[in-house]
Amino acid sequence: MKLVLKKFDWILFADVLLITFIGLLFIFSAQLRTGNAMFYVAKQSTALGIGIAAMLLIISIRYELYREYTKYFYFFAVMLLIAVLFFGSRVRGSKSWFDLGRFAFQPSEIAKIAAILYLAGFIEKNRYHMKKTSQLFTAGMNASICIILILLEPDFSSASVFIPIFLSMMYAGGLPKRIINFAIIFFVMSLGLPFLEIYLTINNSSRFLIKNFKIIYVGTVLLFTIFVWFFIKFLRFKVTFKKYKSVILIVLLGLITSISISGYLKDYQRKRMIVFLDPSLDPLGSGYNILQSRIAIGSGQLSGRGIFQGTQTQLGFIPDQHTDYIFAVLSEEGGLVFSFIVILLYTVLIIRGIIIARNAADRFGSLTAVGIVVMFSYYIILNLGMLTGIMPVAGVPLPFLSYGGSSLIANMIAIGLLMNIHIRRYAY
Amino acid sequence: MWQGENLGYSAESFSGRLNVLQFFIFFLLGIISFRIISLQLIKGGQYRKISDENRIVIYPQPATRGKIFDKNMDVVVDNKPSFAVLFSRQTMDDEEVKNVITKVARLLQRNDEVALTILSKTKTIPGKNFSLLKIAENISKYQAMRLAEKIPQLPGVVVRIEPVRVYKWGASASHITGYVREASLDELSEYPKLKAGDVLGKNGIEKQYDEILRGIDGGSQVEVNSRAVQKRILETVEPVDGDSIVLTIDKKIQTALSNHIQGHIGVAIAIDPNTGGLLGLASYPEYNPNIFISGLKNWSIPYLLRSEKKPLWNRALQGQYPPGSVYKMVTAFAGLESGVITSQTVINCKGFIELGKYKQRFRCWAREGHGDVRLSDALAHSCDVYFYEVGLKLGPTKLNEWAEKFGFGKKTDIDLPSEEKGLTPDKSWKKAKLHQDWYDGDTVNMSVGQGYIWTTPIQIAQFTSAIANDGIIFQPHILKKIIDAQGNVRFENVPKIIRKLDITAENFSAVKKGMMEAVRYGTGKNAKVVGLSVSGKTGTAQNPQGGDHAWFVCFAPSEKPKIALVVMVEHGGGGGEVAAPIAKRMLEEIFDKKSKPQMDTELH
Repeated sequence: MKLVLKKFDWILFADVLLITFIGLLFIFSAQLRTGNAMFYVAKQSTALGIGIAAMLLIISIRYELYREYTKYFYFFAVMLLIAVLFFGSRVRGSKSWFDLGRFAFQPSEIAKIAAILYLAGFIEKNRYHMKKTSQLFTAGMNASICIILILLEPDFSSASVFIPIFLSMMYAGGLPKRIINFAIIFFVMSLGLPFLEIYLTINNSSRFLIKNFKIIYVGTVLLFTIFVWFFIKFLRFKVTFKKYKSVILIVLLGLITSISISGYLKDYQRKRMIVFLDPSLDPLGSGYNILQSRIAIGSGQLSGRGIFQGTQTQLGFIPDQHTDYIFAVLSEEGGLVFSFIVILLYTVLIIRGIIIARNAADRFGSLTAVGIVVMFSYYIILNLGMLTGIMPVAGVPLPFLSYGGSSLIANMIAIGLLMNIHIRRYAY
Repeated sequence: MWQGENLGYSAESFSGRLNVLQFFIFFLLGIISFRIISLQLIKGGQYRKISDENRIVIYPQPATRGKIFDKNMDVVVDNKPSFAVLFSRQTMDDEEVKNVITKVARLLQRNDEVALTILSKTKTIPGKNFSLLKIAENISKYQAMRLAEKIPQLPGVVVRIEPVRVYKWGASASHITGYVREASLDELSEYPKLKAGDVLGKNGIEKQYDEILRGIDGGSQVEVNSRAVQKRILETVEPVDGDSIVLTIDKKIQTALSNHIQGHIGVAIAIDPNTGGLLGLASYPEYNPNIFISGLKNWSIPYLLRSEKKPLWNRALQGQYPPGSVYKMVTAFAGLESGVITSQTVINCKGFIELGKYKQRFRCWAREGHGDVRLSDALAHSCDVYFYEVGLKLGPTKLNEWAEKFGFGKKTDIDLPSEEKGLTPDKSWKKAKLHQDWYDGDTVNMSVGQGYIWTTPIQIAQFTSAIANDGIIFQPHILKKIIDAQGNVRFENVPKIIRKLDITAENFSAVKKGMMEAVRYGTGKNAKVVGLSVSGKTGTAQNPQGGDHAWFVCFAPSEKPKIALVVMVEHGGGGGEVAAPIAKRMLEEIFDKKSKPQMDTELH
């Protein structure tokens, strides 16, 4: 225990606590108009207490021990995800919560951490076989169980976080660059079609173009692929068809996915994409939230409207003020000063995480730290990007800042893992 | 440290790849930071403005339009409270708005077309969705009650009491008061001060003194939340009610004029010869200005606009007619003052004169002639030949000079809209317009108010008043004073003398004698009022459009005139037969001299 206290990462802990306290202040402000602001603050504080306790619990056990049980953690998380599909309560159209009376609990929060641990363990075990495609497929298949189960709830934004975690951990774990490139090609291919389609619809292009866009898209991409191959051959690189075949395969796979995505895209998702491309098209519908939060952030100016004085907040123009849109509340009432304090605190969090990954005693620790850092970064970037209007609308919370008990507890557990790795960095 | 070593087969180390990841993450965070700086610092002011517009709604409180009173402070135009329906779309989408509007239209028993028009108005830009839009006004109390009951199911709908115009004198003073209507889109762009839904004076006093009557709208800046629920009032600007206008009109005279011109297409104007203030003005056909207010009788508006009788036309100012024999007084004054005749000059009337080498005959209305006549006889019997001779002696230039001195051929500048200026023709005018020379025949015609001459009834009234007051040309006016809502006088209108005519007293008494005799035993004897000395002159104006226009001008009492009266009946016939009896009835009513059988004995 002495060792633990001596090597405890006080900077990380203070940083996280500070973010949580700022969060509490603005959760209070966001809920002022409802009249029971203390209710939310009390619940969040309780979650913080539980979170710190969980963190200490996680720290107290050597993380090397976890490695032995990653498979079981993961299995347990998957079981929870299956159970929530049957016994979960429906909130806003998705069955992602266990209702436990006073507390609600979201198993996907636990699943993320379990998946990170599982992947870290998997990669460490197979560290000399990362070149093999079969390994990639095994890991991918296992990770996608979670993604599919969460998509079934359906909770698109919670599922999406698995993809950057998976990719970055595989990358850091030594996946050949070629496969990473393939993955990038695949995602560009598969998301290109729906986005371009919507872009054309917004800009009122000719009907012919919109109607036959799928064929045109597929044709252009295939022609381009073949052209690139000939170009490379022309430059006399030693690229045989055998080597290039996999590129063509990935392109084809991407095309098939893109067609199925654009076919199965639900109306509200299509709307969100439209709004992302141009929020003023639908100022009272889907674009309303984005527009109002942008107004709130902008109107904060340098020093803000004053704590509890934000008109956009206190009059209820910002939607989901205490959860996904809390940064808008903070920016309106605290201005650029508070926005930058928060961004700075997040930067410290990420830097600490990366330092921990860099100095960890073993591969498992490093990879776990990478997974956690990427998870936090993904949430921060996606949430802030959405609020400021440079990324599509996705319902993701800001770690430690947004209201949400199970999210806070899960994040504290993740911090606990980071601490654990940090404390035992020299223990060979 | 293992992190620095190569990753198995790869040339890269874990640290290297971690650097790439780190760079990627901070690159994105950097973009976001720049975006936040841009939002909060560069565009901050703009967003703060939008944010204020978002939460602040202006609830306009219309100013009450000023009232209009007559000379004796009797209310001519008043305001009454009425129910109006207003709507703000808030955060509703098009479907919901359509729903609400259709429901309101059903409750008000309006058709769907009306609903669609309103719907198109509600398509507004973000941040302005809370402003109130008037969707119906002047609904009945019953409808208002029904609507008020359903308010919980009709989000965004407000039923409010607003003042509307009541024209107490109704049709009788329609050409004085005019009316108000909601400003059209063209008018909104023409007058930048107007807001959508504001009313605009469209005729008469309502148009002339629109700005004085309108006042300044007030309103409150209200902070609302995202559901348009009022949170607090930030600022209230009390509306400044419009000032009221007191007219020179006298209710008794106006009623008399309006009652007796009724049924004839024509004009009656009563003017105070001592001030030039209008005592009454009636133009028939008239219209009821109240129909423009109550939305229910909208069907009669097209009739008003299209009817051949032009009820919206104020004949007193807009109608141009040949004055006929009424004009003989101009010729008489011109003759007397230029010295071509004296009051005692005798001219023989044998029923006609002959002009030029073809001996073209210009007849007197009395075929057999009047014999030897002096000025007063000539006026009393309206002898044409006498004035033909005077006119010929004067020549057209002198005649025109005097016509212009009396105010003919230009606007009187009365404070009522759309006045015409009439025409006093001369040689150059005829050359320019008709490409013909001026003949003596034209002079002859002009000397009895025929030919190319056009006058408006208000010019004739100004002229009559100038005779009555011995040569003072007043600018006719209808505004007596402007008072504010508390009754304090803001402006007192002083009678404006345009010019004083330099005519000798003898010449005036000569013409007045002729006018008095005209009523006593001459052509105007139908206008004789028992117990009142009236001086008058008839006129029967031939015109190419149809039957003769019947004119009668007079002032009473003759010795100390209190009123100058002009009656004109379009295509009515002879002035003595048609216009004089109307004037007589008006005078009887104005001076309370109703002829009763027993009073006959009191004839002196």
